[in-house]
Amino acid sequence: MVFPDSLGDKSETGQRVVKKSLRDIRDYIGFFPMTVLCLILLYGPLIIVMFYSFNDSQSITIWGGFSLRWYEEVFFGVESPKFKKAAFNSFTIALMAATTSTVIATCAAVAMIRGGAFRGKGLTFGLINLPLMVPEIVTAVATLIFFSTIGFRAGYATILVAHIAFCIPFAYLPIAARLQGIDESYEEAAVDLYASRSRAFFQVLMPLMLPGIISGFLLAFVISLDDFIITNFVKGAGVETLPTAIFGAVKQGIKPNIMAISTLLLFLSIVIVTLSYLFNRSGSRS
Amino acid sequence: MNDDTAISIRDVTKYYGSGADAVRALHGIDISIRHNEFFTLLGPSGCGKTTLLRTIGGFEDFQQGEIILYGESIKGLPANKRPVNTVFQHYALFPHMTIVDNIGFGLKMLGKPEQEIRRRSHEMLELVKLEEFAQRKPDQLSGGQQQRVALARALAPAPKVLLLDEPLSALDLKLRQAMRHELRHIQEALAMTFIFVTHDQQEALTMSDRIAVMSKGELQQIGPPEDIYNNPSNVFVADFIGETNLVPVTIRQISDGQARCVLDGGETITLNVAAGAEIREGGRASLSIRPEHMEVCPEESGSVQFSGTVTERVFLGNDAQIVVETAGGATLIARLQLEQWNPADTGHGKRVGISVKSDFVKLLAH
Repeated sequence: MVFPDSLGDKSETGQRVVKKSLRDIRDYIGFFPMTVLCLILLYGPLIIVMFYSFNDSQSITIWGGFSLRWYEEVFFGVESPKFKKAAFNSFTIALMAATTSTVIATCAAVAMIRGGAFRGKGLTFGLINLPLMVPEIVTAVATLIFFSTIGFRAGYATILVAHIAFCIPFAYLPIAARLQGIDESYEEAAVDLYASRSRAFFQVLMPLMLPGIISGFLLAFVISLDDFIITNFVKGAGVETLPTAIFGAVKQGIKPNIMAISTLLLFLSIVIVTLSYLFNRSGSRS
Repeated sequence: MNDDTAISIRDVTKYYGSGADAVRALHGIDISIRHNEFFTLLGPSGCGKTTLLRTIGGFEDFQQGEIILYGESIKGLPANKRPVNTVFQHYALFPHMTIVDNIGFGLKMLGKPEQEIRRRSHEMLELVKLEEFAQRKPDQLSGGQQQRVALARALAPAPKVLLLDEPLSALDLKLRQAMRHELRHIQEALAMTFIFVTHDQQEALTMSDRIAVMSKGELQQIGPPEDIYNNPSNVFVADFIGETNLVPVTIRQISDGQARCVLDGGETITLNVAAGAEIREGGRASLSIRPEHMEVCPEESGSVQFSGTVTERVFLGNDAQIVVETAGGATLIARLQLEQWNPADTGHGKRVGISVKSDFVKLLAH
């Protein structure tokens, strides 16, 4: 406080008023309706899908009481082998794509942030993050043309390769952010204490980067898991992932079991994204 | 080179960048550091002291010159091949390892057997009095304790020279003073060569065997603390180390090692010229006088060398200072004995004389 004597108690309350008007976003005009509108648009449909996935009726709009029959249908019904196969593909592709892209992104982050100045650094940064900017449909078409030009047969492998490519920037961002916050003196200390460059990396830098790496991996995993456009273009006939299988099923009419699958996927995504966030936060705190 | 030289830094010059934009970080640095010496690189921030330390540690390259460690050139050798270790300014303890693993890291990287690593790590923990913290993580320790761990970690591989990059700057004053003594004690107990970087002249004076004062990438003076304090070689050193009064003068005449100087107020003083002082007839120079060497006396006492009016009085507890404005426009700070602290003699606006033994008046080049 600048003038404690002259202002006395008044400055105390005065300051509180100033703080409130500066900080409280609720004081902005239109804050409340805008917030409600956004929340409804974003989460209303999701809530409806979740709600009706527990519906005991064949209809997707008429409530017929609570039931888990559609979840049972997903796991044991007529269509379950198809969805199980698709889920298996989705998970294995997501796992491999996330792992591979995380390794590539980690290398890229170390090169970009610890590699000093090199020619074309800005360009390299642009290239790494390009998939975030390019419309996905363009990437999808380009990837398809690329694969057919080099004679790569569409199927499981093409999906995997495409996923690895577009997952890199998603893995890169949290890893690079984390690395940026790590003081270079840790690596210097390791090298000063006779560590080779690779041991300094694996025993000191990588453990420090780990929260970012895990966060990047989980983000890449989720992005791969729910990708539809690129997957739909590059997948061969007969190979489905969960999103393409769901899309295929919806084309024949929306059945409540689709809502059950969607709800399961939604929860999985929420869990993974939350984990990713928590890992990132635990890292930045230390 | 004589046999007890630990490190000899020869004409080291370093530029950052290249071509027209090149910034000179070190210029022709020549220093010889003795075995078992506590050697301090002292200077304001940006003077090149840390850069010099980093060239010894192997973290910075340099364009010209040579660094010889116990008879062998270490130029171009990567940091992990140099038998020197560093205590970093912010310690850089590995946060994911326990204290004992931090300390054993260097020996592990050197491929020492497990048993030796354990024995040596505990020896080091004992040395810095942190035995009971062996299994903790660095963030569970206080700043002072972390500082000791950093020291133990750097000492564990028994380096030939220990480099310390402002290791005390992150500690509070009390702890910093205690650590000065402890560092010095450890250095003496281990009989090791320490190269210590600091911008704190008090730290440098109290701990060092010798000090190298640096400014703008150049060496200003090397010598024992007393020498640096009592016989500064130029205005920068006199001003940077301790408190001093600088009085600008014009050199009228130099003969027989004596210079006749004219103060801006017109008074003339004849002083001895120190060997190597770069002053010339007709040139400008400065008189440097420490406040504690100024004796305040009544104006009519005869031995007066300066006289002026008291413009400010500062009470410091164990002594006091007055600021005196001379007729020639110089501002002098003089330390007072406490019995002189009375307004009748040294009060605001009083005329006082200041006498200084001519031994304590240093004539310095700019």
